[in-house]
Amino acid sequence: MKRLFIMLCAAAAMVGCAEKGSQVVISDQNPENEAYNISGELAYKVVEAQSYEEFKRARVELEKYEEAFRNQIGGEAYLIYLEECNYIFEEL
Amino acid sequence: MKKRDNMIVVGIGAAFVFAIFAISYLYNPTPEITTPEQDAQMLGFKAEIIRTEADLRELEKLAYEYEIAYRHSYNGAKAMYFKSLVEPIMIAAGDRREAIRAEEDILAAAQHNFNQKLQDIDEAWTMPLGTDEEILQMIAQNEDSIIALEAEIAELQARKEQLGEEAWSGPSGSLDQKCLEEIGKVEANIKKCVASIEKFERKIEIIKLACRLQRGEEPVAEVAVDVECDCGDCCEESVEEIL
Repeated sequence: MKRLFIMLCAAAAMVGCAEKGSQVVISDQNPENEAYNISGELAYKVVEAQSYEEFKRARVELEKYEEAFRNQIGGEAYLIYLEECNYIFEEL
Repeated sequence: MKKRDNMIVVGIGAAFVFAIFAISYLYNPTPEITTPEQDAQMLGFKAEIIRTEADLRELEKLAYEYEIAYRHSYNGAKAMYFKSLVEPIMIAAGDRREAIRAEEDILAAAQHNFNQKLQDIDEAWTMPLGTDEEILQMIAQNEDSIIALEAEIAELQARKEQLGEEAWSGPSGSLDQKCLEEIGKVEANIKKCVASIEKFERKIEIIKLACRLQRGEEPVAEVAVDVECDCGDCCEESVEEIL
């Protein structure tokens, strides 16, 4: 019983760490610059996708960062992220 | 005995009046005033940190409460002096909120564009495409709908102008209420038509985008046009037109 309990705790801790690892963390150091760079990289993946599956993967990543910029940073950096993505989408 | 009863009744009455005063005081607390300059400075500090519409309303309410407190504690002149100090602060706070609102509008528009574009691309990737002819037919159908709606808008505009003239030509020279209501309905219909046109335009854009994404190019239609030759005779030539 004790071993089972320890194993369950370890599994829960591993799941917790994995969850935290998959979350996007935006650095407070120059977030505007990060917004420029990441939005460009991810939006081009969406625009240049060669299949629907590829597009879906790129979209998930793009939206994950959008959520992170919205919730963690907001303000100017978030606006830069959105406007940069919208500018790249215009290329389609 | 009778005297004691009277005292009890008076005591209960006094307690009741006190309770009412206490409750009204707690519900409407008057701010503690210091000097007009200090209080205005304190409001100035608060004005610098407002972000939302609720913050601005709260600040306006506080300024009003201070003004009332000055009126009650001193006189109208003191209250007017306090108001003159606070007025530029409130104007600056209003301007600040206006600037924040403008920023919020820009952000909301950018968010809407972002989500809309992703949805359009998703729709374009999943749209089943037929032959080139079928695609061209779909585009043509949507374009025909746009032309029909534009004609409807022109008719509605003419009707609106006519109603506008009728509204002013009443017997007493006043505005005809019925005509005004009718104009309101016509304007609502125009708005609906404009929204429908935007919908059809978006459909065409998605069809074209679907072609570009799934096939790498937009469909082309072969149309016959008259081309003037160098020799001066007219001949019919087939050219490709990219839609």
